[in-house]
Amino acid sequence: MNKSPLNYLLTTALGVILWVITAIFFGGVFSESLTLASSTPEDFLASYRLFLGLAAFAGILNCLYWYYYGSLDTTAGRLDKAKRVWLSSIILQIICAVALLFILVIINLSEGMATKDWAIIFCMLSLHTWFFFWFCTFFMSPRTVKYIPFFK
Amino acid sequence: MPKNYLIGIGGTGARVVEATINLCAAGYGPDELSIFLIDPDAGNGNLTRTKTTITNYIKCRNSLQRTADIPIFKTHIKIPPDEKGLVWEIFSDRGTTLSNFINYENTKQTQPELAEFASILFTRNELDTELNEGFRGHPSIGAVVMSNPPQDNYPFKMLFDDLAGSKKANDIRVFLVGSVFGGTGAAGFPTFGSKQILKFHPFAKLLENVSQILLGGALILPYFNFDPDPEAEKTEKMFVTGNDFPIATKAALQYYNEKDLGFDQIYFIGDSLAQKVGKFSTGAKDQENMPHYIEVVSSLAAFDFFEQPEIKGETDKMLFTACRDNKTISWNDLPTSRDPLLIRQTQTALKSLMTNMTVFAYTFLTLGKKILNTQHKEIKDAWYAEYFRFNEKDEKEKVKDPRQMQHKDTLDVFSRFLSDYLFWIAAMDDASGKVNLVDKKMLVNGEPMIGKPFNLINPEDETTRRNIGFLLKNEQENKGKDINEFKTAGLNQVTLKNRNLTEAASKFITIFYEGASRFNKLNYNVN
Repeated sequence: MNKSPLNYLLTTALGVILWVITAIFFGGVFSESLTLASSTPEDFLASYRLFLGLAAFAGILNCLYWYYYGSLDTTAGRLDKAKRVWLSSIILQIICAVALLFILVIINLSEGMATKDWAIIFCMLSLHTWFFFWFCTFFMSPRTVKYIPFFK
Repeated sequence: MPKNYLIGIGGTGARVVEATINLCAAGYGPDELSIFLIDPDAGNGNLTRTKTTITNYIKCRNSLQRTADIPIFKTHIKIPPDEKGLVWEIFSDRGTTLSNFINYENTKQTQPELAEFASILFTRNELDTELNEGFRGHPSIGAVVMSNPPQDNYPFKMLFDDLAGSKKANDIRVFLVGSVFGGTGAAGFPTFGSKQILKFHPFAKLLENVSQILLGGALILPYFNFDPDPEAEKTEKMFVTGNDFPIATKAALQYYNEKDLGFDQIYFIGDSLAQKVGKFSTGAKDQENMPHYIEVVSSLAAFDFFEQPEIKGETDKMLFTACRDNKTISWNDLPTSRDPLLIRQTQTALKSLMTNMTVFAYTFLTLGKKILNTQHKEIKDAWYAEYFRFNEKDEKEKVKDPRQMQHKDTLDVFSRFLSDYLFWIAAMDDASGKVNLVDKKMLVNGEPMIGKPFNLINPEDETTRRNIGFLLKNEQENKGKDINEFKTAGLNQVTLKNRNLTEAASKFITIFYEGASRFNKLNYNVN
């Protein structure tokens, strides 16, 4: 699984499937359960899907960069730097999840959504960003950087 | 299977044995080899270095879990059980002179005519010079004192025990190696080569012209020179200089031509490059010379002798010589076999094994040591993380840590051996610039010098990271790959599955050797 291009393809496929599950299937059910002040569930669903799409895109892109970076010969000589790159990437993904949630909250500030619902949305964004990045790099990092992800 | 014996006589003999051990460590050698040395100068620097090399080789081999696909330390080197018995020092007392040895003063009283005869054969200087530092270029003295080796004491006991156990013709292959131009070697080579001492010794003789011993030898003609030391020349009464070599050689060769010696096969080895190998010394610890490629050639002669097909019954006399095609030496110039059909194949095997050993030694002593000096949890290299998984805090798991207990001892002895090996191979690339084997400039900071610290180049430095790809001198095959490619295409690709390695130190060594082998396949087109 850590060989190129298999890891690139699997990661992209996994990201897309995850988006389909969380944005299409779960998103439909989730938007119907919300009580919104002025918007329709369809309006909210469209922005929810867009934001989850952005999160998925960020997660996939970061993974692909990590695979590319990890397969460079020069990386083998600078594993300390590679550790910093991985850590920076996961922090970037957390920031990305928080930032997307923050923007979504701002857009829907007047809708009066419950905290529990925002928590669910944050979980979904996290699933596509930092958790996705950790999961994919844990299983599919090139051999040189295979043991850098946390808990490996 | 025939038994193989290599006997190094004198300083040059010791240096050839050192080369032999290093080749065996690389995996180029017979499966089994018994070795001993003959030198009255027990403190001789060359001898001390060789004894250390042999001892460390045996320790390395005994502590390494070997697998069939890893050729290093393949040869089982046998030495006498007591390490002191490795060298026949000839004289039991210090300060022995030829006069003491032949009881000259008493003989003058009891048999004056015999004493008179001795005084015709030997000068007063020769009779009175202490011999514990060798025969100082006077083989006539050595021939007298070496003519009666003690067969009940080690190291000769080892050979005579084997003779007692075997009754097959030519089943014990004895190879003598010594210089023709010095003292001990020049005395010992014809003495042990005479028919009655080994070849047709009563224990070895089977029929009139058939012996259990197949006797071979490498007679080393002048191949080096050394700087004169005017101070030492003033104080020493008896010594040899480089200027004496040609005349000594001529006299010795005339002698060999006239005498019917017991040798079945002799290899004549020499070189006209006459590189300097150090400063002048009469003997003792100061007599330690830089390694020279001719010693490798002499070892190859020994291996060729040991690997020859079995000979039944009477043997034919054979003489071998080899020469260079031009003024430089490369891997393809080394005479690896008497069989023209096998030369290319054996040269390629030698080059592969030596390149693997060199890259292995270099990376083990640099990257390997760095890893061992780094805390376990800090190491994220894939090969390490995969094969050295353990919980540092659990005492029971410490056995998996290559830094702990007996693993550390194993890795320490490997470090010592590999460091000596790298010095040896780097030093062969001498100032003449004509020995195109391994390029010392890619390995060592400064000139390798005896007794001086040996400082390896850091392979991970930005300016030197490509050195590992250019270790072979003037080679078209060098691809110039760097240390990072050694990690990715070498170390990280090693698999220990189905190898049944349980010892952490052996795993560590095997990973580095196989990593080197994989890297060399890509970079040097060997293996």
